[in-house]
Amino acid sequence: MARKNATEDLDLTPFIGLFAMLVILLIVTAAWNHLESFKTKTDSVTAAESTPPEDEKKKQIKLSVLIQPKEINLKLDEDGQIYPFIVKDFDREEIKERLSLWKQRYPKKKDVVLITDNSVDYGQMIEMMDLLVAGGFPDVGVSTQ
Amino acid sequence: MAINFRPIKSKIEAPGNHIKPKYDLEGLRARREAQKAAKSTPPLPLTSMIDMLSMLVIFLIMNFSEQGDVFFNQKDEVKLPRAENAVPLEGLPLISVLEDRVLLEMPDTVIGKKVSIEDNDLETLLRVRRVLRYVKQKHDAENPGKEFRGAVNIQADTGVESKKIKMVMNALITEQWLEINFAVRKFSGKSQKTAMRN
Repeated sequence: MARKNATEDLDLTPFIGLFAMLVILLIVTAAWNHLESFKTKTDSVTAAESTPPEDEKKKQIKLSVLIQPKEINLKLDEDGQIYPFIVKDFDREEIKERLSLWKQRYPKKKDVVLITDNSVDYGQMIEMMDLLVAGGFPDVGVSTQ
Repeated sequence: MAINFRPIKSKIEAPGNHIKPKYDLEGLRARREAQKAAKSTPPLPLTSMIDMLSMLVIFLIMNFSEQGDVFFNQKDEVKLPRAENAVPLEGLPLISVLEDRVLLEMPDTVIGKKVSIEDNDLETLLRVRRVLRYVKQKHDAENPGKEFRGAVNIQADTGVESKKIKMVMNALITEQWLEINFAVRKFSGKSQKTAMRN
């Protein structure tokens, strides 16, 4: 009886068919642009005017960020007492430090109002939103004034 | 005397292939046979093909997004800003804020047909407002008691003044479209700081 040839080729046709189908499926269903978004829920009241959590009811805390062409004012309003903090030339590290400080002082606070000067461009606005979300303030309300 | 004729082996042999004596006939024959062999069907090298397909599949799986059917018509004149901490984009009506005009596009899932309008009056945005109002009224009439979501995506070029964005937002808020999303491009590189500043 003749021995079967030990080096018989594997039938690769079904593998290729499977891969081809998988490639077609992935190409058809893929989203090629990696698009994402920042959500801002603009209710009739701004985020900062909403009811504060129970433990912060004693103190009315309002956090806001004002973007101007050459500086950014990170403003803390604690019971009407305003503590501004000016950052020049969009120094990201300084902004991050200040946001981190805010988060340490008010860990349950999640909302910040973003106010932009009319001449500030959209890119800067989004960059600031990105920093705020990264800093633990996901509820960014954009002021339309 | 009988002569016994025995068949003898012929000394004459059929000549081999030759054209002219000056050619090297053996070499010529070898070349011709090699050409014939080359014309036969060799086995297809499938290994490299499978490797390539495997790489393609891995690449596609890594880049796959389940949000595949996002309604989003990116304009050539719009360079979206990049961000690291955004959330996946939903397929919603899209407002494109350009330097001199605003475009509103809606997929056919909103009111049953595709909508695409252009408004050059940035101050009032009357045409955009009219469509937004119509969509809300239609929703309220068809779904009484059901809250209108009023969600929209805004796309704008990085260099567009925020004043224009605020004008569009004001129009949206007036027409009770309160869930506003800003489209960005995903960015996960380390050089974001420089990319964004540029």
